[in-house]
Amino acid sequence: MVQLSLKNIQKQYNESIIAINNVNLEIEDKEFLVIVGPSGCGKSTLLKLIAGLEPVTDGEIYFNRQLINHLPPQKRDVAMVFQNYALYPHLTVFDNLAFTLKRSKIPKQEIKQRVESIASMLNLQLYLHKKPHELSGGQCQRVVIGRAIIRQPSFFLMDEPLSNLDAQLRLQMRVEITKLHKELESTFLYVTHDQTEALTMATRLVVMNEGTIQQVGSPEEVYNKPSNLFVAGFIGSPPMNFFEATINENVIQIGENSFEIPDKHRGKLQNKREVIIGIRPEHFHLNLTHSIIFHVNIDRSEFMGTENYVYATYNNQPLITRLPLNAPLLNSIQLSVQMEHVHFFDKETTNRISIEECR
Amino acid sequence: MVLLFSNSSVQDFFSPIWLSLKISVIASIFVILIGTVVGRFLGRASFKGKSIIETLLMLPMVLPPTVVGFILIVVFGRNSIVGQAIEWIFQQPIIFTWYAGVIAAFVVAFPLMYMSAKSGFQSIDKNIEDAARVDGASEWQVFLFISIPIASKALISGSILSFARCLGEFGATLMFAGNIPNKTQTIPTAIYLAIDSSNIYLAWLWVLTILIISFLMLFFVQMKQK
Repeated sequence: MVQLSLKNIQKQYNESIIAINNVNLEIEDKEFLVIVGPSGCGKSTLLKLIAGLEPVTDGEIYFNRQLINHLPPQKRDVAMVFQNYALYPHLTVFDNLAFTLKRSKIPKQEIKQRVESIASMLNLQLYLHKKPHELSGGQCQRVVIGRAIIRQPSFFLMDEPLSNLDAQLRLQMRVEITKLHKELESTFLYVTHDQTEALTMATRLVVMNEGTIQQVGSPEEVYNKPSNLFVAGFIGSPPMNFFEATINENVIQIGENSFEIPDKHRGKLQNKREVIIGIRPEHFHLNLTHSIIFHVNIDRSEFMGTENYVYATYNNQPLITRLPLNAPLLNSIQLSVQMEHVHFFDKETTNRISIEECR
Repeated sequence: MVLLFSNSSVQDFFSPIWLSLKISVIASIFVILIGTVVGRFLGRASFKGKSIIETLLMLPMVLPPTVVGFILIVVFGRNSIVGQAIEWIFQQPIIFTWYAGVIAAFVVAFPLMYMSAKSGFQSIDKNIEDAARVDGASEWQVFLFISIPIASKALISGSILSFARCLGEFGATLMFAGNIPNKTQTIPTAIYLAIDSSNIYLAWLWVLTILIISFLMLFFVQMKQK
């Protein structure tokens, strides 16, 4: 069932700044939807529009099929976790958690019970009488989450909730939030610029750039079939390698090198003369069994524990690949790539050219 | 010295103090309430002409007190529309009454409260107020339970500075409310008159009184800011 639906959403701050441009999105009941994109892409603005903290310039927001454009944030039944905690600094942890319950005129006894049960769920019992400035980052984060879940809303908005935490704590909280999503059986709309968070937590992923949606799909879909050059370059670390290429009849020409296109992959490609090809770093292999061979010069390598990141040059263009630790790192080596792992993008529109359809 | 302890001189001494306190307390209450609300509203709002309104509100702070007094006489005097309306409603003019002292004190103290309140509210992280809105608080509740407590330091400093400014108000009060003993004479105008009539003892007592009150208030502000 669709719980939240955004129709032709537009947000303009003045004549020149368009923060959100014609966004259409449907969020299913109980899903964990992650919006990912670089800073300034409009993802946090979108959350504020949904929460009602800022008015939309144009378009409609429906919550359970009811238009909610005109509703103030108090009446939208959403909970929000803010990027920089936004705890009430003058109130104790107890009062921070109880704030929203007090607004709904719930009896004192029940407020106490509910605060205590949330506190024990989040391991905050010992801190109930402390003020936010006496807590560590991880404890603050748990209070923020507690403040959001205590009202038992059906919809959660999370604006980069882990960006203030150190790496280890972030990993731990990532697991806890995913667990929480399963336990609460609510809908989560989670915004992040961190692609690892996006790929690991999402049931569905939305990639945004410059106020528009670039792609919506499962993490696997977005990673394996990026819909355009931006998504291909943004998702994946280290990022995808891109090369300008020309298609001549059955041949892909990259600089002075050319490779024949296998029969099964012809079709759409032949019409496109100027393309950009993309290859992920992990898809270069040392054994030369695949049809496309790259002669590369290695510049340097980084030891990553289980593998090496190798920085090389191909045809005067930089190339990054991930190779096993035992790979011989000579000045010049050959790498092969399977045709299935080559992504094609139209040079003009930057959109993906699907070759799978032609099989 | 004998003169100092006679009944009439005790009244001469205390009358300006009570009047000063009465005028300052009443003016401060208005300054604090209106300054807080205006500071919050103008601190967050952005609209055309905001800078002009802000400049006008701040102007009494830099103008010579005689100019403020002059403008008050022009606006509230018996020949102005406002003055005549007041006279018609209350059956008496406002000029040369202690109410005029309250208005003069309000006008000169308002910029201090407004500035403190505005900077106090502007320093609040907007996300905290937004969090309260999402948590179900109405705009009024956000203001009352979140913004005011967080900005409380700035509001308290502003209130005390405004009260001290009301207490010390001299020029505009002298012109607009006059210096009528037992009616509109405040401590600063009384000191002026005492020196003018060489009543140095009385001047000293009032100077000490206002020194002590002002010192205590500023000291409290300093302590609060630590």
